[in-house]
Amino acid sequence: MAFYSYVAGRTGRAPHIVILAVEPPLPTLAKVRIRKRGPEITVEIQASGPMPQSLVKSVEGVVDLLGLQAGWNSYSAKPIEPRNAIRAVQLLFELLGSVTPQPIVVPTPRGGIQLEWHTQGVNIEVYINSPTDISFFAEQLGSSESTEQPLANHEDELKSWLERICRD
Amino acid sequence: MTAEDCAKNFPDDRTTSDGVELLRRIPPRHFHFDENLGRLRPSSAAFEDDPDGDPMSVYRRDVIESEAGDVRRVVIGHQGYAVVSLTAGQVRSKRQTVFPDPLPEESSHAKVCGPKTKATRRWFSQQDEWAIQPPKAGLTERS
Repeated sequence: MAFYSYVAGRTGRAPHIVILAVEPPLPTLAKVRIRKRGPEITVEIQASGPMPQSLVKSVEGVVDLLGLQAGWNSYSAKPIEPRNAIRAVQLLFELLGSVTPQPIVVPTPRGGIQLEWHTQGVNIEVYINSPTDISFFAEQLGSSESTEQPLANHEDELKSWLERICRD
Repeated sequence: MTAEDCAKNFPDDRTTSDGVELLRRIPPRHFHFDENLGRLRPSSAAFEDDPDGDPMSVYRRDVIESEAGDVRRVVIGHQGYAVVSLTAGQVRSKRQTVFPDPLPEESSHAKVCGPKTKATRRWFSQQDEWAIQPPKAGLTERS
């Protein structure tokens, strides 16, 4: 949600209103650090700026996955790799604006993380297999429009898909 | 695993007809409400092979029922889990083999072997039907 400053005044003619749209500063991630000592996990996140609720909850969802033990899917899934969790948190800060819906945060059996949105006729899935192996899929239901790309060099394309599902 | 490796190591059992239901156990982390479909569905992440390279495990409904068993036996000891069903024909249509692999503790166990591309996993996640519905308490929280 943008913040607006309303300036009203008179110039000798009809009153006029000037609306200045002032975007709030974006949430900025300064540092993410994860320490695992045996069963104890410490996650340190330093960030500034306004934190939309969807971002807070999504980050909590990622942190929550770090508690999964080997075999968490009843088959032979691996625990979530901390480096993938760090990359997921970074991505959430990059992708989630104040009106972006909260993604579903999904662990994968190989220790990765998926971010998923299935709303407003759009399906988006982001696959974080490793910090250097990230890709995404997006499709508009009811049309033949879809894409599957590595995230590298296609960040703007992913953001434009996310804009389709932003809620005013 | 490639289709060639699967044909060699986990060959398709043609005595398992295309109509046979294959049951896949779904952990609570892997189902959520899809607003587009208007229903709960599993994530595509629920249809990966095991990290050690072993093909995806399923349970044959025909074997369970031939033993006068109940499908709920595949979630015994797995609280909060759900079970989805895909047919053998559906998985074969995506270049997968169905390989019976009975275990001492579960005679209906089988493997679904084949390259599970992201597109294949997404397709599985949208085609399946619930054999055991997710419990409400296991739903993924949404904004």
